Amino acid sequence: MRRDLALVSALAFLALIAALLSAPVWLRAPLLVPLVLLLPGYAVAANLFAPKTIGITERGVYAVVLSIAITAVGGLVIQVVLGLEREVWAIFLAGITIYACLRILVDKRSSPLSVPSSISWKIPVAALAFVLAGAVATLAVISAGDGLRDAQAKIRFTDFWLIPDGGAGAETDNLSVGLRSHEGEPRRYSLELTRDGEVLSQEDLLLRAGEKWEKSFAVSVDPAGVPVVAVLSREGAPYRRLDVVPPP
Amino acid sequence: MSFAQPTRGADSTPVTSRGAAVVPRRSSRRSGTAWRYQLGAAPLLALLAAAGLLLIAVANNAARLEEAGSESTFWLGLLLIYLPIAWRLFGRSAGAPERLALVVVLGMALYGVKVVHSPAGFTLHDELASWRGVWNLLESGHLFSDNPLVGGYSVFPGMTAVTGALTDLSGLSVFVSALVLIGVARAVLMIALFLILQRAARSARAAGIAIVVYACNPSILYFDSQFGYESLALAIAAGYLLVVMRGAGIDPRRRRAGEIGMVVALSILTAGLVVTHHLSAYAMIAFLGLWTGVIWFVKGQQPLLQLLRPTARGNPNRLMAQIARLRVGPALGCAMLAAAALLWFVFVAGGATQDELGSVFTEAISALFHLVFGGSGTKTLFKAGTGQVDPLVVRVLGLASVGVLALVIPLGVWRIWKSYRRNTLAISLAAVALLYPFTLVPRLTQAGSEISQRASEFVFAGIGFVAAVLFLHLTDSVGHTRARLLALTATGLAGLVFVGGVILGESPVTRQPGRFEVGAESRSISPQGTAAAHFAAEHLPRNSRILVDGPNGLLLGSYGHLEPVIGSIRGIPVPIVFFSKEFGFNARTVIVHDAIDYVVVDRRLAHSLPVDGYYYDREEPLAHERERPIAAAALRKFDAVPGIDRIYDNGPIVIYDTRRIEQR
Repeated sequence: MRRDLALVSALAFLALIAALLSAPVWLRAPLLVPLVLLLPGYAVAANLFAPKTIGITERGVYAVVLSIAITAVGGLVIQVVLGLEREVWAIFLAGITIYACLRILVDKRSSPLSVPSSISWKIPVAALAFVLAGAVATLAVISAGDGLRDAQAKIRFTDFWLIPDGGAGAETDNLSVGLRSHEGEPRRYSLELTRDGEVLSQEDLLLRAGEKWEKSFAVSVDPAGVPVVAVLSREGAPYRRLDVVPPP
Repeated sequence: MSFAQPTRGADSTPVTSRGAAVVPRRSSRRSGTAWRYQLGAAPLLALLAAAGLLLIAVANNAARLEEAGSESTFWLGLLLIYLPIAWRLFGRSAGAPERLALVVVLGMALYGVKVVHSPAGFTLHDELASWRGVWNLLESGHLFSDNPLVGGYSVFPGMTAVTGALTDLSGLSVFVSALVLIGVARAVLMIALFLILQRAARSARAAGIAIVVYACNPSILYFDSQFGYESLALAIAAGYLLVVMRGAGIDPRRRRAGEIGMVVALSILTAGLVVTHHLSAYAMIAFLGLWTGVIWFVKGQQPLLQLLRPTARGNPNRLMAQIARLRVGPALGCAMLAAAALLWFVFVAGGATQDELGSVFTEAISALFHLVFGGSGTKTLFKAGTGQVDPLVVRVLGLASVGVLALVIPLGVWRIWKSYRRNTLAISLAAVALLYPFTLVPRLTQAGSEISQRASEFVFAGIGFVAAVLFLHLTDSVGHTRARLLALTATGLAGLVFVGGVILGESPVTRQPGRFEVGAESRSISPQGTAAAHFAAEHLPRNSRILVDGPNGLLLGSYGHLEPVIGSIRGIPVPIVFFSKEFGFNARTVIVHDAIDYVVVDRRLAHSLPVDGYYYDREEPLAHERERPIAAAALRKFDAVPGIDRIYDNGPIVIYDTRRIEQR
């Protein structure tokens, strides 16, 4: 009995269930990342390379590269007839894994894989050191992320737009005006829309950091093509100016 | 010599030699095999490498805030990762498992340098283009969608499919999925390379040393660590070579794997490699072809015919039996890969491959011609497009690293010729190392730098091998003290080559993150550009055609789902729209006849010359020759053009709607 393959097929089955039931990410990720990067290749390699013909390290290499190749080529073939949705991926990868495992598990002649039957006492100490190294490396990534956020927080600006409503490609006589604050703190804005000197709309706004404000308004079509002008002031000072000729 | 003696693999019992300590021990106490893994100093050195990574993160944070000392802290962190591991691997006392662990630690720590450089999102050209490919897949459920950023990605969709599967199944973001995928690929590459080089030299110590030198290649820090198809394909290619070597009987201590298994494995990996990356597949074909040729040259026709000739086993009337009669080796591996690559080229990827690789090679050859016979296209080493020149010490280190390799390679090749003349794989790796000088010449030109950079990841496998053979020869018959001294010297020289590789491989501007710079790839990816891309994704029609500078084009072409346009129309280079102070006939022709929907202006471009030598496109007028920045008035001119609407403004970046121009 190949206990390793029994475990692999059980993991593939669990991953399939997690994918089909749309389990939360914290559960899906640890089950389904191996389903893409490890399990199919491991099961297929078990069929292609009998125990004792290759070592564990080499088997590990084949498990990953075969998994990657199977996913790449399988996706290529499947997408000809089906869309590559989550369920399709899960059934394909789990199916390959379980089928490849079962081929060996039902074969009475298959011999067990050589695995370490005793491990030196030093391994837990070494593992602890590696875990510690991983923790320090994770700390480095977290520190880099914090550093990036701190640096970007110093860059303050506001997005301001004026576009035909429903997207710039829409054929409509409505216009949409909006702004999103990246100022890092609450800011006061005043917005004025005019056409040919006539005030169409006026707004006083207070936006928190990251907040977005958007409004649509109707404008009459002007055959002369006079633009609608939007002027944004921030803290009382002119800040941005946009102009758009409404589509006819 | 000790390294020439047969030894076991890292995953099996090695034969004692002074260079490669015996580590796993077999025991018959139980029915299975009892192994003892001795990882020696690897855990401690992993901690040191992690500390080095932390130091680099701190240095990068300081660089972002333009604090003094950030650059020296960065180098200190890099050397803290590299030197202790190199010293241990050059030494004699480590066992095979420890060496294997150390090369994985080294590879992962260097990958970590890329991660802490861009910890929250993609900043490199290929990464953003790859993101667009994955987004296309997640949106449509199908591969082969057009990728407006890099056309080749749509016809080499292997990495896109794998990342799409990871993202879709796990629920992780594309960015996190990509980090996991490329991290796993890096670990596998290091392990596979170790096994390949160990079997080629029949020594775990040689393999460790070879990888210490391999890690000096200029691409390892950023280019091969990015979310790009080459980073993934390298791992598949290494796995492929491992199967071929097993077929060729290079690990004779183990029972031979079945031919059917090896052929099926090669078939799966052939397909995986061919649909993932052109250059990696072509490089593998070239190497296996070279190896086949060396077998012919060194051993004569008979051994090669044996590799090609079916074995006598099996019933020839059945397919499986036919396959079982094949002999797996470099000739079969080369033939399978070449046939698959040819079919893929002819029926799927020919046009895109020619467009991508053809232009790179044509430009490089043209630049080399100009280099030899005079003319434009040459470049001054260590000088950025802004005119900024690296300090003297950096230039000396960069050149000294090349000098060390120029000395080591011929000596190592000579050593291989003396001791490994019948080892066809060793001869082939030596031949690869000899390509090094030829890969340096294109670096003297603007257009050839990319080829030189890309070649390094393949050539350094050969260089590492010859350097390891040379070093082991030098230390084989010396005493303990002298061997330690030699290991220390070699560690110093390897450190020099490593530093030189980083200097040559990455411009000083992009080596670390920092404030916004014009035309400087990762340094030009700004929050304002990202905000404009998110606005575009939310409000502008998908795949609208835009004129935009390079870095913002990456953001708008990926996160913004738009289509940046480059090149020329009716003989007019499209960037000309931005350069003149007047909106004249040429600008109008480009916008109307190239069906441009939006023009995106980054007003910061007027602040300085582009670091990479161009603002919009490598082919733009005055690329690499510009002496003054683009005029601010040239970027402001769109405000006064009838028919152009100013629809978005976030300060530096303004988007103009140009679709009414055609109606006028």
